[in-house]
Amino acid sequence: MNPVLEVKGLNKAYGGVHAVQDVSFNVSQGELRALIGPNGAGKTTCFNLLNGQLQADSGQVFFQGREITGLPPRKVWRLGLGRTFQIAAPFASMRVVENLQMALISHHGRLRQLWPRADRLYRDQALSLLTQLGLEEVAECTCGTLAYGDLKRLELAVALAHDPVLLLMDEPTAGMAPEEREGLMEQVVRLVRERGMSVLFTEHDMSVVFGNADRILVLDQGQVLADGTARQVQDHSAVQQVYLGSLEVPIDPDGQEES
Amino acid sequence: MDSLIIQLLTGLASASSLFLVASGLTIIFGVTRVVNFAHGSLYMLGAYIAVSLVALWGGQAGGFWLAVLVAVLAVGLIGGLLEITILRRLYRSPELFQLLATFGVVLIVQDVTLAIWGPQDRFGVRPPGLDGAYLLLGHRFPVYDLFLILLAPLVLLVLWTLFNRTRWGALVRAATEDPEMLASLGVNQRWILTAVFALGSLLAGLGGALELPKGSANLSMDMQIIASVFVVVVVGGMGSILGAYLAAVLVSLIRTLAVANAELSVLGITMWQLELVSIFIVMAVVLVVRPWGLLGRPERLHKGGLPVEATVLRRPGLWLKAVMALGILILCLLPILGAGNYSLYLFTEMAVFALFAASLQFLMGLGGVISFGHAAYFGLGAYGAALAFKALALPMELALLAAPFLAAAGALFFGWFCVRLSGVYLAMLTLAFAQITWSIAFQWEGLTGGDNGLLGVWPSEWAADSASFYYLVLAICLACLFLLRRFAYAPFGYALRAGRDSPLGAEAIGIDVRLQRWLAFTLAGVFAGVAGGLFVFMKGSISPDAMAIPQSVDALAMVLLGGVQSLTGPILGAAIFTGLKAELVSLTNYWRLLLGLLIVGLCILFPRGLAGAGREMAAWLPGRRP
Repeated sequence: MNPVLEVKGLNKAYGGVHAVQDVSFNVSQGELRALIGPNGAGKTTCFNLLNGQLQADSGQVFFQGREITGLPPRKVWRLGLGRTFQIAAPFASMRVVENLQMALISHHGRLRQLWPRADRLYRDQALSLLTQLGLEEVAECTCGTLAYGDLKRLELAVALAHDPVLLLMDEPTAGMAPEEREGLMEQVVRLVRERGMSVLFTEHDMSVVFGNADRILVLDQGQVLADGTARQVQDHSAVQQVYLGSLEVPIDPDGQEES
Repeated sequence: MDSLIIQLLTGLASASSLFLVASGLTIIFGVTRVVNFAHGSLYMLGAYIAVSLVALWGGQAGGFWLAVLVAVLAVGLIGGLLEITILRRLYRSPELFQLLATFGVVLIVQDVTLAIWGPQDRFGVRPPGLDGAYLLLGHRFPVYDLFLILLAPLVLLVLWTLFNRTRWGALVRAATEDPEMLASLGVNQRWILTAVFALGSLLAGLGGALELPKGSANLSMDMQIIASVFVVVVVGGMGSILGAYLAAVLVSLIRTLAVANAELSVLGITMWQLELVSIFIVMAVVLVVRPWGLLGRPERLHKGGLPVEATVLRRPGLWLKAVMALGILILCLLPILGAGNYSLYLFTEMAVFALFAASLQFLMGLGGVISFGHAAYFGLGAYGAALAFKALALPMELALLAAPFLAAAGALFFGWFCVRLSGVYLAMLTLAFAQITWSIAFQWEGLTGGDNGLLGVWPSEWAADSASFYYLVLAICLACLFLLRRFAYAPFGYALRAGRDSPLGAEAIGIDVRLQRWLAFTLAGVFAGVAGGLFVFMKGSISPDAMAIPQSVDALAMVLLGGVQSLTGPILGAAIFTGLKAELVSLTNYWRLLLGLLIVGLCILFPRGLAGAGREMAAWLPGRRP
């Protein structure tokens, strides 16, 4: 089967620093794929290259067989590749449900309509998505008043609104309490399996990674260090040395952050 | 060839004064982030104080230079006082309020200068010892110009040393880079900011005092220089002193060449006609190629921008709806209730400016696009209607239709450039474009009547009496305000807000933020144009003043005083501002002074606008949730 996403020889340098160096990998249909690595390994840069927020120096990105290298984020999104951000960036002056309606309005190509009332468009659809993520109670709140965990959930809901084929999630559980993290990841896994969607996510919480990912890609200093199933990556000596720093892979049930 | 060299030297000489003023502004902006409209006023004060002192002591060289020195120090002192009394209270307010307050200072200084020195131009004298001329390449070249040419690099060197080689300079640079860090190191920044403001003002005063021997001190020099100085500062890169020098040289050379070759014509446009426009074209070109100016650095997020408070759309409650309906009803009944011609005229004017202000708020509050030059589209609308009426001899009804078209064309064209930038640079580019349209109206005498404008643009017979015209304007303005409101609540307005709230987030859900802003720019221009069209038939005439800087600032004042956070704010702001201004004008000749004081006072007392203050007060009422 053809991979949903195929990345070939991606490079990005800032001055003398190779943030991403010759990175190649793929994501299969329906796969939950993790991208891990120590701080500064190039994970977020990699994401920004994939969705077009940054321009790669060289290399190619194929999405469903179509080359998307160099396309701006909004076009990449329209093709069915969504993303969430490490630091949640909601539309702060809008209500929670309106954030979602915004994505749905965009998805249906109605951004430049001047007449209909936006808050009446796709409201039911937005509410049902919010219910799926357990946000129905805060639907009418202004985003500024939300707890951080709810903001991350909202971001996920917004990213799911246009039924993406592939979703890039940059640290979906960053800044959340440990018990919240597991709840969110369970939701993500459930939604992914239900929808047959593929996900590529970065994460610092190793229990989240090893507990959920089908395959794991390890980056270090911009380069691919290892790529494989959880077991393969755990057994990889270079990973143990460079990334984890010890021989014992800390699959920590408490989800303590690995730094 | 020889004459070309002489022209270049003349250009360099005029660059000096421009650089002095611009370096002051760029230093002030770099450290305090205040866009200081009053900088031109300080320049004007420098000239006036110097002219008086030179008249007293200026017989000999020593007396002349003493006069200049005292004038310059006096202006520095005035600047320091301005900072302490006004700006210091506004550093925590939204940046636009600081800008508005400095514009209040402009108005105050204008009238104070008028009161002290009178309306006549005061001519300066060349300083004794520098009043001769050298014979250079067969041309007479003034010694004083040579002095100016040498002075600018000297000042540049002094400033560079001050900022890079002294402890004080290090503190100032630290305050620029990271004020929080400096504060946590125990440095009291208040006096650093005051000193920087005083230094910047001093440079403006020096520019004014030294310009005097080449011209005169007059009451329009503040607004004349401020536009050029903004261009220089922006082209050089805001905060960069060397950039300001390079830009001043560039701008002055181009201008001098245009003047010297005034008769030369390209495509039927003479250089003389291009002179005023040329520097703004330079600015547009530089900013498109280098969005942060020649030597500027990209603005850091949140720090260098001009954040506007978001307009939050609340569905109006029953009470608000009732009040609005009652208000509209009263407005409709005004002529029947026996309002006189003067009140009807005033209400007509309020309606026109309410629409103008609401169109600016659409762009600013929803789109986060700040325009310092919204009057351009108001003016284009006005000229569009006036030209259709006069040149094409169309009736009023059709002429009014022409207004939004010309405004839309202008907004579509200028907007394309503007939405490529952000923050202060964007705002400055809108100002530059407004100056371009102003210059065109001013210089294209054959079509626009130049300075005098177009006269005798009167409504059709059926709308000629004040009540009928009032109804016409009220109907059109209410309809347009309704449309703007509707657009704000529509997907278009929502997408615009999304782009302002979180540009990255908006792009990540398929919104083309730039396109959305461009369309909003055009729409705002269209509605400003409608207001302009009505304005010209209300006044019966139009002159370039309708798109001068003060007109753009008036619109900003209306939006900010009313409160950018709500859609009704600007409408209230426009009504109050227009009413106050009319009242003050009828009260005294020194209405600018009073209006300026009022603006400064309101900025200090109500940093969130009148509507914001009203909401805060309402929050204190028992039984209301904040």
